Amino acid sequence: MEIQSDIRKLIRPSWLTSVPANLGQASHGKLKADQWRALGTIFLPVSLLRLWSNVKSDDNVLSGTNSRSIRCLKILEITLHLVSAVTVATSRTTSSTHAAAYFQHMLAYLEGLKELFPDYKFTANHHFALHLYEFIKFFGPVHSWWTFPFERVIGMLQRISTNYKLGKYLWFIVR
Amino acid sequence: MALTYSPEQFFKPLLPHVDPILQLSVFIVTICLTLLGVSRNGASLIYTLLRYLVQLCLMKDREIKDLSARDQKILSDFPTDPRSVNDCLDLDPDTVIYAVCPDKSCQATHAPKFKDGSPIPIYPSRCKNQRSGRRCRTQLLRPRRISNTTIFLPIKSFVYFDPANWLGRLLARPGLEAKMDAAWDRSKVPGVDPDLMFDIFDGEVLRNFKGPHGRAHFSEGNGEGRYVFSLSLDFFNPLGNKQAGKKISVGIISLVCLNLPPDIRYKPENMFLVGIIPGPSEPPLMSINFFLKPLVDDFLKLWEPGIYFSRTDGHRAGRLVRCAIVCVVCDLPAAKKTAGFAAHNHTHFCTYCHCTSNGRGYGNFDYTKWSYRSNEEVRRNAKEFNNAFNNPRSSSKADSIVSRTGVRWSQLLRLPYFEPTRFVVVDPMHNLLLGLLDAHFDTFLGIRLPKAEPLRPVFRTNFSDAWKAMSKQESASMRQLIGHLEKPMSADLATPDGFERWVKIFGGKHLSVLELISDELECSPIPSDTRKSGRWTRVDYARGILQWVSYSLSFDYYVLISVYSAQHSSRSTLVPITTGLLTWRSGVF
Repeated sequence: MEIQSDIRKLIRPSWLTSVPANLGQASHGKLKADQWRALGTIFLPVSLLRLWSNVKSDDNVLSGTNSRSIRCLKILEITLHLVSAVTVATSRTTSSTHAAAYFQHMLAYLEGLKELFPDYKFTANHHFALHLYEFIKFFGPVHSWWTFPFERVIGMLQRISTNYKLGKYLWFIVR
Repeated sequence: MALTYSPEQFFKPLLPHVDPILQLSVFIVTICLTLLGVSRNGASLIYTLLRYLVQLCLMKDREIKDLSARDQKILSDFPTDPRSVNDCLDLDPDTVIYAVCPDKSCQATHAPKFKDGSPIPIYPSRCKNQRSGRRCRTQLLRPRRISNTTIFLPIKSFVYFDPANWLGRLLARPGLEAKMDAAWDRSKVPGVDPDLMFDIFDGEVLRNFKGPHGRAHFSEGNGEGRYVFSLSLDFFNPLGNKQAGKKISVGIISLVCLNLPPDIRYKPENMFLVGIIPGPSEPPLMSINFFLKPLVDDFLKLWEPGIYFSRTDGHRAGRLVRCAIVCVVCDLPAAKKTAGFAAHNHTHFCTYCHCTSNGRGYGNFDYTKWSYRSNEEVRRNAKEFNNAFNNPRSSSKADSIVSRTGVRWSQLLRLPYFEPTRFVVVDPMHNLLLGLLDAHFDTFLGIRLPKAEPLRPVFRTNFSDAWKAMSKQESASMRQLIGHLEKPMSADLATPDGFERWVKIFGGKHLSVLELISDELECSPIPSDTRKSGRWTRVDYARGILQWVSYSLSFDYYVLISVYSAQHSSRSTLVPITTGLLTWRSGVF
């Protein structure tokens, strides 16, 4: 797959979260949130823009008969709206202008989805994504109110080695 | 009158008048014990070894009896039990241990009582929680024998850490208090666009957050410490997230002091773990409030009248501190539970507006027509629900309130400043990254491939059944080798590196198996040194087989076919082989 080879070929800074190069196969397991972010905001735009955006010229030649490439182009468009929304939302500094831009992109993405995939069943997440606009205004940059740090604590707790004996804490206090 | 908390113990020097050698040893072992996960037994072993090391150093050119009295004392003062050291260092935070009802549909908590100074907690023996008009009455305690006396301890317990104790510790650490106080004006830098937001303090909520008396901004406290926190509650599986395996769920309640600068805010030592909600199953809807109650009780005190710390890092004479919880950061299911809303698949699924999943449902993006929930309205609904819920005769009424409004009740609503609509944030990580990006790539871009097809065999080997009589290990080897031989490997074998790699793989198998294959394929082993005579090694056989493979495949497939047909009577297999090879050579595989 082209995206896989792009992931391998892309020269990227070492601090960037790595994304499985065999993307799409079940063997890499579920992607982590940060991997989704890297994939969505960096790798996919690069690959999809390269793959799908240049079909435009072919379309003119074939005068609209190439419906697949038109559809690809439309999907690319809404994908880029989503990617822009995510990028704006996760910015380290933000402002009401950022929030408004986020809202425009997210709305365009959702409306586009509805048009392209009329049968798709939306989830609560799609609704809440629009509310994020308000919360960005209420609380500022997302890094102070997203769950990344808390999930990290969970990771730490999961790695603590235990003897699988519960509740001995109290016992020691009483002693 | 504000409560007073004296955190004097955090300002005392650790282990005063103790020899530096001992101090360092204690420090090393305590780090091993608390941070590196060394067991208590391991820690006492390290103490013993360290003591021996120190003794050897001291005795470098003396006998043990010649050591000075001071040195002798160092050796005799060496601790052996890490527990006694922990007591001296006062590492354990103040805790309250609640008894939790073991019935998983109840899970009520019960506070301990102490009889005049005794350290033994006394709990009710049966659960006192009222559920739909009936007492739960599940057994809470079980007997434990400790040094010949029997005491009753909870079957399941919830350890609650005292926020005042934690805050006292935080404020005692050098420099932190000043940084926390500065948080309120950190973003008021001249020359920066006032619309830009760098941190949560620039957001609308905290810019307009009023203090306890409702007039002045919360930060204007006339010298009082004014701190804000975010609350997180999440459930996780302590056994890891394997698909297979036990599914148990344990909750974690934690607080983060937002006044700390963002770079140190989320360091584990600066986060406050309020408690762990015990498993194995999540507490049911309203029972989560039992676990929030102690925290809310303490935060009510921390809001009005505040807690007076008799000494902090920057204020030797003490300081009044007031705190507030200004946002709840959870994933969707936990956020709903914590803030007392109906689940996210309920008809009234949204905490912020009146959208319902009926009718146009989640796909209703006509945001101009949304009607928003107001703070007062949610509080009114919640109060109504709570009254009905606590009245044994009207439990059905409580249910109808939930299905009408999508609101339950949460302990957090007892905090007078808490705004259930605005303070319950939509977590961008779960929502955007794990929610939308995941769904988009999965459903619309179709990134997830169907399970990769196993490679088609390029040609079919047909060995005699001789190998099936071999030992288990050998036949396993054989099976692997047959698998390898049937793979397309011409591209690999064309390069010397690739060839060597395969030689390594093949050479790692049993000699007897390699001999057999070599025999049946009629290829002779190739030794690394042609002058060598005598027995062939496994690598020699491997090289021979691979040479045969690459020769017959990449130069002339007729050779292969002839070799093949010499071995197999059936000619019908030949056609797929040839076409397979042709496509293979043209680089399709």
